[in-house]
Amino acid sequence: MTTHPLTHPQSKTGLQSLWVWIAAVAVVWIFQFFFVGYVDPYYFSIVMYSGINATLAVSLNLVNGFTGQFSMGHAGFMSVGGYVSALTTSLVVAKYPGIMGVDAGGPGIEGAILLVGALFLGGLVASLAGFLVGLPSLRLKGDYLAIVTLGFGEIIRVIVLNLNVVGGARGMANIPALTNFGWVFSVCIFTVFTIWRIVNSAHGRRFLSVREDEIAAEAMGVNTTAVKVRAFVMGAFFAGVAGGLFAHYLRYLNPQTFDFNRSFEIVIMVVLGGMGSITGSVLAALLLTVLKEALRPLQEITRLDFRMVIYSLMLIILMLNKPNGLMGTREISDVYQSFREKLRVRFGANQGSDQKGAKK
Amino acid sequence: MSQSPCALQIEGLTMQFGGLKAVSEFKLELPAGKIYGLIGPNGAGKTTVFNMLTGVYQPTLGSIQVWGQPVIGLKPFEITKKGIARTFQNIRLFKQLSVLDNVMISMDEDPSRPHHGLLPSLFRTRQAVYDEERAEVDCSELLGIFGLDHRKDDLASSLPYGDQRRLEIARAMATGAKLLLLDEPAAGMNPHETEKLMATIEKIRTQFGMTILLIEHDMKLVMGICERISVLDYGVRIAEGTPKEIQGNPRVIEAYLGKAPEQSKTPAATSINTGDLK
Repeated sequence: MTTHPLTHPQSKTGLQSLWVWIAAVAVVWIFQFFFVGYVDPYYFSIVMYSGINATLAVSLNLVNGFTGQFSMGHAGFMSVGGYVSALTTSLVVAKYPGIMGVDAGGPGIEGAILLVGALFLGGLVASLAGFLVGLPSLRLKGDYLAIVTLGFGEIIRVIVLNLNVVGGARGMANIPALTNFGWVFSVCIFTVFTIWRIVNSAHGRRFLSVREDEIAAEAMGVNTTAVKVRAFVMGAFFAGVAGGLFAHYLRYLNPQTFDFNRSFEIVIMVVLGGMGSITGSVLAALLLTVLKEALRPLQEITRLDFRMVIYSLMLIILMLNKPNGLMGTREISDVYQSFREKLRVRFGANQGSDQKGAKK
Repeated sequence: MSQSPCALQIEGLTMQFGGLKAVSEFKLELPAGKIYGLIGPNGAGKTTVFNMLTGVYQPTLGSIQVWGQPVIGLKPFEITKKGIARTFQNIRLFKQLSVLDNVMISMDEDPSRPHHGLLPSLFRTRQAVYDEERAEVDCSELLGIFGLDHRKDDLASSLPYGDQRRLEIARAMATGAKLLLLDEPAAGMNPHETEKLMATIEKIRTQFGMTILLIEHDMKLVMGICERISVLDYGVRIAEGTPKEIQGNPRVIEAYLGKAPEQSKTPAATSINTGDLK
């Protein structure tokens, strides 16, 4: 293609703007190979759960924040993905125990391929569940949709509870330990990348138009049903992948893990971070995961379980002071821009007058 | 899009809500490039006609052809792609989005523009970025026609009322439709804003060859720019013709002002009536 006069100074195509994301993944793997071994296991687990929660929150934000469909069944999709991928790897490892590399000191490249395959499969089945749930229930709006999705989450839990293949109420144990720091954060970065890119494209504007005014969007030619289902399916996919990571990290799944409290937790992260802000979801996921653990010593000192009381109090105070969440609908790039603008006003204005003076 | 000379052809259009016939046997033929007015007292069924045209309601009976293609039974978003777009009586902008995004959303749906799947958007292929920038430039240009380009980065909700109404028209135009349905475009505007709006409507007609069907209560606007007018009363078309003919039509005057008592039917009374309509 010949050069065109339209080139926007900010726009970058293809690989030019991919490098930030690739660099982030590279840093993650450098950490995985050189530093992870030195981290205290307790703190390490907090880091891991932060990453998984961030993935969940960002994917739910696509549905709740950007498309404006209040879904409360994210734990259901997470459990579908978790169980499917855990079942896959368990079956494969039972047949080929060599994959786990007991002699080699850990799973090698085969383990990685198995994990990625299982995560993908888990995500696909979860998104299929998202499609099946979304198609009929997305006709509902607001509170009604919230109740239906909440019900869906419980249905999944009860089904799993009665499935003997995955251990039923006993839970599913001995899931191969395939998740590591590198995978959790690669997936997290990939999720943020995908949703960031899609939200900032014509597809993303469609999501937003449905959130803003469904009737107007439909009148402008937006196929609102398809858009809503697409958001639901995509959100469910990433929730399923996060569930798979969770399963292969904890190595034990129990239907109780995915009850509605879990769904609420993710919804809280999205709301606290700001509906429609990816940065906010990531921040809130980190904050809440750390906060819950940081309050643990308090419990030991007072010998009373005040932890959740304080946790909810802090949430209430935060929401009272910042009703739109930590970030509102702003992203880190907006914050950076306004910060630069402030700097420019402060120092750039001086520079401008200096130049004027110099010209004279 | 087919180049049929007739933008809109409606025949025997009837809408029945239970026992209430909101619109009955409505018929209209709108040649391309014309400005057509649809007037009538409150509750006459004007907006119901619009809702049938845009697929919000399924008519009980009758046929609608947009640019020569039947649209009955299609969903609203499919009808929009046939080349017909509307504005709303109570403004329905995407309030928390920028002025530019409001227009971009419509332009993305223009069937004559290139579309990209998820993957090109994900990897920002050269073509996808080019088309995106192209759409942005076209949208800014379109906003320029409405004098809104300098506010394209502001939230739609922050615009003054008159500008919001004009943004709705710009958004409808961005769908690529050549037939616009304007539902009370001048509602709530002051005389100055209405005049500006009339100029804008004239401009988009001459400059872009738009065909316009509008519902309006502001008789100055209707009589000023419409070439032909249909009058609805209780769902029935009681008159059709040029503004002059409509102003003198006794049935129209009766629909708006009620029947004058026999003895007071003096020339003075009629002149007051038509004065009101003007």
